[in-house]
Amino acid sequence: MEALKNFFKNFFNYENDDKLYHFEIPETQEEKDAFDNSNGSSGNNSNSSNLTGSQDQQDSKTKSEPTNVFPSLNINLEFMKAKYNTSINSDIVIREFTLTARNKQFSAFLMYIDGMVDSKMINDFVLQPLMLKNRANLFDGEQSKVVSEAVTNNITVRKVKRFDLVDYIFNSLMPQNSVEKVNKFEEVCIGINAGNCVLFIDTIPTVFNIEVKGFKQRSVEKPENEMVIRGSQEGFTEVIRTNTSLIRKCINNENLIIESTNVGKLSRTPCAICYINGIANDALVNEVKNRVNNLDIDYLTSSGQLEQLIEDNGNISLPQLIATERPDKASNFLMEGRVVIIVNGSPYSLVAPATFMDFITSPEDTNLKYQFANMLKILRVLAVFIALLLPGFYIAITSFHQELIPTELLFSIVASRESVPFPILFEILMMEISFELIREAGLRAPSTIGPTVGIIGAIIIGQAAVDANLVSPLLIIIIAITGLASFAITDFSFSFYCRLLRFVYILLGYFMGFLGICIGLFVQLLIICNLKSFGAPYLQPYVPVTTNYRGLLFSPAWKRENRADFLNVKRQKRQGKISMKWKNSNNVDNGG
Amino acid sequence: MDLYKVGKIEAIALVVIVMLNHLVLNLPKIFFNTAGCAAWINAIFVFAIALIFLFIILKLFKNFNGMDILDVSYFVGGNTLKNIIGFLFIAFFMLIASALLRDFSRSLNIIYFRNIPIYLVIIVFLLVALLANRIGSNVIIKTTTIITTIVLINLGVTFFLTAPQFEFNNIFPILGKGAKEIFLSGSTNIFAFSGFCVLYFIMPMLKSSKEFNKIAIWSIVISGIYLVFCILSLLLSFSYVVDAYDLSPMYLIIRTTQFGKFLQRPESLFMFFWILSLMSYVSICIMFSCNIFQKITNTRKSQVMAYFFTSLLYFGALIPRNISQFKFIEDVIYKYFSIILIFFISMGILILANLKYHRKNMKLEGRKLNEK
Repeated sequence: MEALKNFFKNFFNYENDDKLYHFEIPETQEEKDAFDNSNGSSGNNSNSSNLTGSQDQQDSKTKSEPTNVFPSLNINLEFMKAKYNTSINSDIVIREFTLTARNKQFSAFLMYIDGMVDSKMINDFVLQPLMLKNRANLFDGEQSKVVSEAVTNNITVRKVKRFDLVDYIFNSLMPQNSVEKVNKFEEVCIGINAGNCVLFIDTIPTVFNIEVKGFKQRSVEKPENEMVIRGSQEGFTEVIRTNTSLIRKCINNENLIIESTNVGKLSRTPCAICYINGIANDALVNEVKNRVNNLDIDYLTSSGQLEQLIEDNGNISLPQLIATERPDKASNFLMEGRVVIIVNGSPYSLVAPATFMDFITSPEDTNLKYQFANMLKILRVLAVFIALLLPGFYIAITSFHQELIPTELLFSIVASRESVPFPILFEILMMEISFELIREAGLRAPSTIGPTVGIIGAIIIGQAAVDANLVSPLLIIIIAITGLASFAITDFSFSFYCRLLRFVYILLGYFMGFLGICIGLFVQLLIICNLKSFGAPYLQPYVPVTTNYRGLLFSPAWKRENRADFLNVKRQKRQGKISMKWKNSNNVDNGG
Repeated sequence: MDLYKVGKIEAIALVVIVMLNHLVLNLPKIFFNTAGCAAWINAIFVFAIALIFLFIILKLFKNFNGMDILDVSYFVGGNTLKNIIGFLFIAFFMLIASALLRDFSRSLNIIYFRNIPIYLVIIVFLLVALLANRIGSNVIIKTTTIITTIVLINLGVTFFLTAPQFEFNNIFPILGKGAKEIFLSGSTNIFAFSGFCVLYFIMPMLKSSKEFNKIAIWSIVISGIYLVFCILSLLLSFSYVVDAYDLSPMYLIIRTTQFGKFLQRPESLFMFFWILSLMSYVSICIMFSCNIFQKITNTRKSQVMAYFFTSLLYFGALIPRNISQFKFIEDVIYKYFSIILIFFISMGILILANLKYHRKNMKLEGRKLNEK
């Protein structure tokens, strides 16, 4: 009977299997030990300990590691194998071979990361000269070289330089333009991680760090997000050296300094700090260097990440550094006395300091006549206000200040809203969120269907929403104009800032009308007035008022005589009082 | 509170904004009540007196470069006088800010927020001002510079918009309520230039104290021009009997203007900028009160006092129970308090300070002569 009962009980009742696989990332050493005990010791214990061990353990391990390269090749080989986990790391290549120098043979090995080096270069310019038995390495001449000889009182005094294998290999067997002799394991690892190959030779406690980088990289292409009509069509790439060369191409001056630094304890991402010696303020340069070099982070992958780490106030959503993918724009800023930061792996460089006016200036402006540029700038300022305030104003006017609307228009608005069942706040938020969704979907969708998403979203959904009496037609116009205005803002981050704050203004406008919007504007003004980017007030040159700098409007090209006042540059004048000397026939230099 | 060094334009903005706010609200009404349709003559007369007064002040301040009225009071009467003057000015700032805040909030309450209690409207302004003071005085000054510019443009546009409806017959009879009212009783309208109170404190805040003269002259001239233009445009637009309405005359005049067929009632747009202006004004009053308090008590950080002064302003703004009490505060207490404090007490201290200064100098010279 009991058996029958159990049978039915088991038949209908489902019991969880208590031995279900359960995994949590262990946080402490105790947790890790418990996890190891429960799962049994794994084969990759030594590897996982590197990641899960406490910081102290890692530090003590690092301290116990040897720092200098050993003379014994085997020890070096074993150490490097352990260091790079070659048993599980598939792209680490170690090529052992026999090196011939002065007709003697030495055991050696090359080490590099596959995919980061140029294999042809290694074959032709590293392995061939070292391995092949040619005249250079078979020659067994004098072991010591006489540097100078002098005869005094029939005594010959010779100054002899002893034969040094390291020098010999470096000078005679390495037909490479960039080879470095290192003797510390840390430097060896940096070289390998950077895409170089390293050469270990038996009996020599020196390693040759040979530059054979050969990454697969994108070629210099058009900038994707900062397009201009008359300007340069080159954009930064992901490779730092290509980017620095692009800047060098724009600024043909030896005073352009490009200082290299590495950010990230683990990633050691190469970064470059560029400025023009003799123009940029030393304090500004030092401040940038100070911030970039004092980042206690494990890894850095993009300039966007770096921007957030070095900006003055991280809690304010306003962009505080200019991000540009245009070498000509970066060069212009450098010539003005600012500092440019380039991060390897990111096609955007950062410019410090940044002011509000920079975010409504397009790189196209310098290529246009000042009248056209000014018209566009005014349009962009208008776009900023529309993108920020238009929906908030609409909601405030329709809820509190109806007298502003002409009577006929008011009737039409009332009539169009008559069939809409929702309150205006819901209506406007719904449309704004829909618009943001369409924008986000259009950006994330594959490029072939991205535009289609936008069209479907904008036309079909908008029209359908009006037909279904979900929103009023006027609101569609308001949202569309706001969207267009936000696209007209040149800087992506600044546009984002406007999009975000728009929602705040919608709420303020709904609850308190113009009073609410005024509160928002006043607080926003307070924040912006308080903001500084690398020591430069954000609202320069208007607050505090300074001279010698273009504000909202451009002056004619011949009148732009001075550099920005707030940058306190070393060289204030950027062109002569009368730059167009050809106008004065007496001053003309005929080039003869 | 760390003292932020202000430039020329920022300093001018600080002085001008004090006058502009009163101009937007109740100042023209007081001029009309005094001189009738000759209010514009009264405004010019007061402007002239203010200029004379300004030159006297500049002359008196000449020997006290880089000092404010508190330092001068200390020089004259030591800590006692300094403290008395300090507390009087704090009371003055609290009074003018609370009166204006109450007046403006009442207008907003009548026009837009009939269902919302006035104390909530006042709280909104005070919270913003408190936030501004917590952020810092430099930010308030910078923000004021922007807002003053906007309000000046805004009032300039008002003159142009009202121009088509000017009726020049409105200025007749040319002497309005009579010469005695214009030039004798009307002289008390000098209180319109209450921006002088900022001038008394701005000297140590300046980047260059040599600019003080320029700043003072420019700010009073701008204030005076706007005062005269405002009163003229009001007078020419409609009869001076505007007291029938319980709203700001500037609001009423904007209400009658049209901008083509599309903008027939643009007053809300102007109100928008005036709200910003008032926020800035209240922040400035709290900022100066904190600064004065810091100076007389030698406290290191007076920003915490912003909470106290904000609360004081709140209760001060709620004190008047009805319009008659409120009018009494605005038309009598504020008017005569500002005249006595700004134009008599402060001036008296400056004169005494100069006398003391010269006497000291003479003594020193006498000693030198004796030594020789």
